[in-house]
Amino acid sequence: MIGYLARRLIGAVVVLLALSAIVYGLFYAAPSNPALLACGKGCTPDRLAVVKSSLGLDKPLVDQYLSFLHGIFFGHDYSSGPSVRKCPAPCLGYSFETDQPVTSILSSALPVSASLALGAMALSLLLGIGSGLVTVLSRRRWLDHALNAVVLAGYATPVFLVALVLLIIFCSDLQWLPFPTYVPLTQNPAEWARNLLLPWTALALIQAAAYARMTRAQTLETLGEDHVRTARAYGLSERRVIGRHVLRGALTPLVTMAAIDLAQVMTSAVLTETMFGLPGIGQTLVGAVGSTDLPVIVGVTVTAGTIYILANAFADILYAAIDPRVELA
Amino acid sequence: MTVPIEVAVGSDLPPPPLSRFAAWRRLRQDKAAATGMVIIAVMVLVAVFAPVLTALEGQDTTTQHSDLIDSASGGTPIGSLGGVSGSHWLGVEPQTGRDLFARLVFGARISLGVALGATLLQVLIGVGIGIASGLGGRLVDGVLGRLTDLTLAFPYVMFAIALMAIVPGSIPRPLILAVVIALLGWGSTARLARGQTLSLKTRDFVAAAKLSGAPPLRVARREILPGLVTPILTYAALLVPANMISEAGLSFLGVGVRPPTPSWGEMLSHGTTWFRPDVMYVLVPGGALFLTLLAFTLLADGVRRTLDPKNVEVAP
Amino acid sequence: MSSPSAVLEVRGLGIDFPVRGGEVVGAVKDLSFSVRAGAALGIVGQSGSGKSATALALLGLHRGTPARVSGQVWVDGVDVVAASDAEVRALRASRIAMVFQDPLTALDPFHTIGDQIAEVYRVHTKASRAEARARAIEVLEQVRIADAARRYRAHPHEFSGGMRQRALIAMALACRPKVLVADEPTTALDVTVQAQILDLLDEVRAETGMALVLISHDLGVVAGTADEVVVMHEGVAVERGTAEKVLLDPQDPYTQGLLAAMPRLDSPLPERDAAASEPETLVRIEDVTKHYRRGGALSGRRTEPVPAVDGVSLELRAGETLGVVGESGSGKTTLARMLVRLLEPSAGRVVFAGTDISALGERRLRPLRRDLQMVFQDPLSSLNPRRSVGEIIADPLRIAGESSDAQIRAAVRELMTKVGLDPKSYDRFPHEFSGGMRQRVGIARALAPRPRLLVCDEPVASLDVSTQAVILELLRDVQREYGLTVVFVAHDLAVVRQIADRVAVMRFGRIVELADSGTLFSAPQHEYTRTLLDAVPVVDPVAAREKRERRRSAAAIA
Repeated sequence: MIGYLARRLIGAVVVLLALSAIVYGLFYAAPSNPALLACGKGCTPDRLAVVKSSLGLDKPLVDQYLSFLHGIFFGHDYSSGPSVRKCPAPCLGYSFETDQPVTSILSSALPVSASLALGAMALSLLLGIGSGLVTVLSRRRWLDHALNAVVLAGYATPVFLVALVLLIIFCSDLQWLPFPTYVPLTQNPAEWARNLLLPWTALALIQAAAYARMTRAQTLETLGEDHVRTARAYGLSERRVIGRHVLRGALTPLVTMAAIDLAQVMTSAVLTETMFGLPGIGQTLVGAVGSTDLPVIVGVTVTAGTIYILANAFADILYAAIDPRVELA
Repeated sequence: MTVPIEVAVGSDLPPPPLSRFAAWRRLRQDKAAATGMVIIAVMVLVAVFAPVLTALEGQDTTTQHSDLIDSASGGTPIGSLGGVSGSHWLGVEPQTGRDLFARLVFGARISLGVALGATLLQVLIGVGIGIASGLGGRLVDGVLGRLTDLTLAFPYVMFAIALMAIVPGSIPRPLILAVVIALLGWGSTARLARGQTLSLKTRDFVAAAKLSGAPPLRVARREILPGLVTPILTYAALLVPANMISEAGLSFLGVGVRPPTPSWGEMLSHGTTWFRPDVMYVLVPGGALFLTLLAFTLLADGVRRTLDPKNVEVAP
Repeated sequence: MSSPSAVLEVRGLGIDFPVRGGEVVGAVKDLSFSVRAGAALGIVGQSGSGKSATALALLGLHRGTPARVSGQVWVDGVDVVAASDAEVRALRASRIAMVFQDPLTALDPFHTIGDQIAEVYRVHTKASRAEARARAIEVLEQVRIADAARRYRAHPHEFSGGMRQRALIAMALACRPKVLVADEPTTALDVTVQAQILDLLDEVRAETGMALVLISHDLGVVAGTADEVVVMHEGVAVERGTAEKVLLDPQDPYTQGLLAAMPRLDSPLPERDAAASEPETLVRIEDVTKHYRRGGALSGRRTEPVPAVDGVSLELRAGETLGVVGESGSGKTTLARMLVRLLEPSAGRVVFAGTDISALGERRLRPLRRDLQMVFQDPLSSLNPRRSVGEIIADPLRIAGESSDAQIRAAVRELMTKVGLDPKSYDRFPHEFSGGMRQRVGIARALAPRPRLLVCDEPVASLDVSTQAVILELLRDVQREYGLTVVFVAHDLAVVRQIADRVAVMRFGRIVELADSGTLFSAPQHEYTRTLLDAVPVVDPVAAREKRERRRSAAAIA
């Protein structure tokens, strides 16, 4: 178990290092001029030189990357002339635009994305698994067809289209809900949920389609397995057969999938955040891209990658924990 | 945008071959798939003949008709339904007054072209790497496997956005869009191809081919590749709408095609601020996008059902 | 309604399966039989005979499926066909229980063995958790699972195949049913384990006084256990009677054919040409070993540990047929694949006609490939479903690239004729053929490059008995005609006896005994060989019971 965890962790770290190197290399070696960007408008050649040496942009790219890594683990001191600016670990640098530490930008954006992702996932699992099970267990063909139609529509609909329709109906026409603004959970839980209800719904409607389809397929497959026949042959009631012997097997792969999806939704809900004006990490990235704010772009993508990789590792461990056949050795 | 793999792989046993003719006939008989095909055909024709269609209408994508918008109200088109008229079949854009029909039909070129191009690239890269990974030794498989993991570990949308921000402006944007979408999205195809290859590799017919003295390339081409066609085709059919959504999303966020090139996503993103005074500006590109996506999804589902081994009647 | 002494009585049972286009296929037609308490009935038939459909019908397991069941099935006074769902559910496990073919999949992987048994007991007896647990441990002990209290907590995947089948029998015993239905209970098991399970079934029947319905494709499996036998063919009972009568003096031609086709340990050996004086050695294996490494490079995945070959040496004489027998995990398939260099030995040498091929590179091996051919176990897996059979057979010729297309086609047609295939079916695909026909395609492909060594890995294991006999005959013919050296790998000693000049017995990756066929079967030297031979089912019921006694006394001594 410990050995497995260690190996999994080392694997994750290797992938993360590769990821960060690629990201850093891509953005700092790209045809953009980082020093000029950092210097801002009305930059003088003197000032440019100072910025360049302060940020270490005059050094080779490999050194830059290593000092970037060093900053993450041990912090970083930026000296421009006599003044020294301390950036404690984990240091991802300062925004070219606002001069804020990237870490503080991230720490204000992450709760927003996490709130959005958690709620949306909970809702979509509930909707997806529920409707998937109902269609299989009721054994009604028309329900099957209806589910299939909804699933196809879910695949065919971009989230911004759903968001737009929801906004038009509920905020603009019916005016049942406010145009969402993010209220922290700690500040006012009721308002937090009320404002996030529409974004959750928009994401969940699409995500749920996939879960419904998977639930249906998995349940059908498990129902066809021999051990289910055994359970029936030994006189167990249909409810018991389903509850004890079908659902466990059918939903196990779904749980692991959901763990990865959580990270996926958290890091990829850019469009939802944009549509509903939620200041999550997606919005942050889009903003940074607009102004080529390199430290923020790199910080956000590396963070998103970390979340994603950790979620993958977590999913593997979770899978091993709930399936007795998988041994961690 | 990710597409779950499990929908593509029905069973790990190779299905008895369905002749191309039989598959096509069955697909045509599938009402939903046939509807999808008709819509796609219309869209493709529209995209191909976009210049002819706009010439028929007598408009182009860039001319701003300031006489057709009400600048007092911020630029709402004059007239009902967003200024629909005999010379502007779908009305004009708010604020700029550009012809909506012209922008829609040229937008179809971007939408379809990027989605199909990206899918083709994804399949080529994915199948190539998947087969190499599956047939190669431990080292090849290990390296390619990690590479695949890496692309799958990329927060896809984030990277696409970030990448689109730094690519040089000299290369045509639609091409870059397709390449970026494909480069970030081949991982799942590779994984599927690798899985199928590994499963086929354990079949004794591959061993028999080796005993017959077949060199590796012949094994890949004759024994493995035919077994990949069905799952990859089924999966690729789902990739097309997924890629289309990616393109629309990136353009929606303003990192896709550059103005004044029209794209449905870009039109929609402007449309969101205009849906109160001019709902046509949302409905036209939104409807076109939804219809095309739905058509591709219907076709993909039809392909899956047609090629699903569980649906194949086995000759006695 | 039912006759007083019978706990199970089937009258006029018919089972129909609707197929596409509104047609109906009759799987079972007008079947009647009865079983008294404590008696054992064997139902024998080949695939498609309707025996498994019958087994399911005994427990009403066709309910909720499209199958249509007619007639009467009386279980302890209740007609399963006519009873309500609730009645049937109450009947299952408590009065009639079933043991399935594949113990690997018949148990729920997510729950412990003990919990699954206890659950069944609780559902039917309303016992407390503690009582159910106690009963589960009790029946686990009854099926001779050592340390039952600890094993109660094991999951199915932690059990071996034989242990799982024991656990399933324990589950069947839990509610003390009057009838136990065992549908091919030993087909997925090794021959020694099969003997143990059959002995166990026999013992628990004697201990509990329940009736046993044993269903099998193998006459030998039924012979030692059943008092009465029903032979089924295409849904109809073609013959029935006491085991002695049906198996020793069959009246129906179908039964006679089945018995004649069955390879036996006591049948006269087919005549062989006298071996040429001092035959040369074609293949020499020197201390060959194969290890499988765990896991893949750079990947976090693990692979199951795979049995290996551990220091095997032997010589193959030109023109002989060497049989290699062993149970699963004995390394016989690994050895076979190393002989044709589909696998590379970890250590040792494989010398073919003077060349060491054990570590030869793929390119240098290619010229030798045509001499080393193989016939595989599963003809479905060994034929690419997307290529026509003609092209499959032509493959080695096309790769050799020595002849024109017309020459190749002519050669393929000739080969097809030789192995008993219609040359007109050149362009047809494997799925259009039956299992036996597919195996003929596999043989034709192996013969196409005119090899010197032919390795057959369980070539008849997936075929029905009657087809087995025909394929064995074909292999004998082509060996004689082509002067082949044949290595015949199989788990079935009786099959190997039909074809091999010499036999090697493998266990745990080593050869434990190697002797001439006649010597090995009449005077086995190694104890494991004797165990194997004792475990082989025989069709003579009297001999089968004697064998069982011999096994019991051997077990008592050990």
